[in-house]
Amino acid sequence: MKPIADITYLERLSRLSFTEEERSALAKDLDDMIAFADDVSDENEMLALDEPIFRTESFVREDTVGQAWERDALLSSAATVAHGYVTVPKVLGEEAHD
Amino acid sequence: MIDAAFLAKDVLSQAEDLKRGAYSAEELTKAYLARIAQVDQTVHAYLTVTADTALAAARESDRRRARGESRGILDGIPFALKDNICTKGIPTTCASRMLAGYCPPYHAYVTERLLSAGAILLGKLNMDEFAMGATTETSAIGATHHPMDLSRSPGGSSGGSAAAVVASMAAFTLGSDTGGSVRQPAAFCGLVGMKPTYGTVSRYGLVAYASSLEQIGPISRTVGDNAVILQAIAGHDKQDATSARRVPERYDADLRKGVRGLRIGVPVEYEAGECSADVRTAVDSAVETYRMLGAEIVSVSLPFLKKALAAYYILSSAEASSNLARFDGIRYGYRAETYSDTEELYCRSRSEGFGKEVQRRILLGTFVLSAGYYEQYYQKALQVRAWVRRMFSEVFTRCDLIITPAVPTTAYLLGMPEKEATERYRGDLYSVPANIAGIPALSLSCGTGKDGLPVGLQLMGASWTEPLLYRAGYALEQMKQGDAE
Repeated sequence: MKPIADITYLERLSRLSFTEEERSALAKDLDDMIAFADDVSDENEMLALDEPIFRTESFVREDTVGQAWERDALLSSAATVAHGYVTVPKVLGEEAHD
Repeated sequence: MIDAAFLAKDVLSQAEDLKRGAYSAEELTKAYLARIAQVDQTVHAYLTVTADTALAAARESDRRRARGESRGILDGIPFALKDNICTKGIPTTCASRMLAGYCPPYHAYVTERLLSAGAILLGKLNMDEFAMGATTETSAIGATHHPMDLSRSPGGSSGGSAAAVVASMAAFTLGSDTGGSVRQPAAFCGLVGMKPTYGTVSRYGLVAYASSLEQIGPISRTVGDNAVILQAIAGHDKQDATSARRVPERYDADLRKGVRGLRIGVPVEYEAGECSADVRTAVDSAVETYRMLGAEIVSVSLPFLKKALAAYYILSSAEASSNLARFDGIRYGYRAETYSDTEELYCRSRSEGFGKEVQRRILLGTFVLSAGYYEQYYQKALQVRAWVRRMFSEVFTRCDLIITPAVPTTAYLLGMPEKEATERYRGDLYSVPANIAGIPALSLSCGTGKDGLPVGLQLMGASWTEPLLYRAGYALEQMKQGDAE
């Protein structure tokens, strides 16, 4: 039976990559999960989504100068840094590599 | 050296002991550290033990007390945190390869609150990777063992948090509860676990899994302890936009009021549904105890249980796929060794850094949010959520609280062959609705199964009725203690 979910497509959307073997195992897992999730969709008298899930009250923080993070503390978590910046592979130009 | 029996005391008793000088915070902390060194090699509850800072903090607590400046009940009491709660300069890994060695530059709000109250942080506790699992077996560092039966799991995802308390390796702990992850391990270990009303406790510094469902909650030996700990961490925090702007109730105010006159709802779905014979016997007996204590037992219906569970897995996976998108190998977290461009850097880092269950849920979340399926799954799940909330509102006009098993069985065996992923999910049947509706739910021990393991029940109430849940929990706890004595 053809799996419901297109694993290759989902891989691309979620920035994950699998081997062929993992893909076929995941396709089965995912189909099981989708069948399980189908429990939500077989109801005819389902309510319209006419009420907010949460209290509508919301707030934003005051726009005041406050605590600032220490640059070094933040950079210490990154895999590679140089001259006070996080380094990444080249993203512009023809030669997009590290 | 403090006798091991003191380590198994509840927080309120230890606080009394500290107050009258029976022992110092330093002695108590040393005793817990010795206990961890003695038993944690077999239990494996801790991922990080912060012995030096704990001892320094304990000495400081003793000095405060000597000056007459004690900060209250929690001053000098040793505790530990689930490893998805941020601790400044102390590894916070979510039991994932993705965050191995990661030290946050800030404390979570709850960490800050407990440290300000003078509590002594002993370390960080094992969990299912990114809180996705029910046994701690998805932890990249290996499972935690149930201290009462090492062949079993203490539950999950906050399994380390429950194991540490029941094995006397901390006086209390905090866990996080997205679909039962505080209540289920508390139930499996014979402890008390609270999932407060959504918005009660700030999620600032809790590594996000499913933001609309989760709350941090205490795991403790007694109901009274649990109320005191929740009091210490509850309250509005402007750093969390979903934190409720209200003054928290006094959680222990009504503890001793008893249950006479309370209407306790027993769902017909529990009476008809599947649950192990041991669990049924213990929960039925708790219902009888409540009746005997003067509560009115009423029959109610929660027809949404099965649908709520499906909706939960859709919503939590969808939110996880979004929340975990931040782990890209750039600013922090695991980065793959080899890659040729940014796209490959993302893919490799995420595929190598996340474990199998986490990847599975990210994929499911991506699927239910993808074009063509959004309406069929995610939108429907939101409708189920609205329906569940409305049904609960109606049920709570007919009863003050609802009683169910916390989990349909006692603690799971470790190392069972991996069943269909969905089979384990069914263990969350009774716990998930409280997260879906945002209402408070308390789990506590109500007996022991034939396997010698604790059975837990769950009490659910309308939003902001934590004092009522603690009151009903306390009444049952007192009866059980009376029986034991």
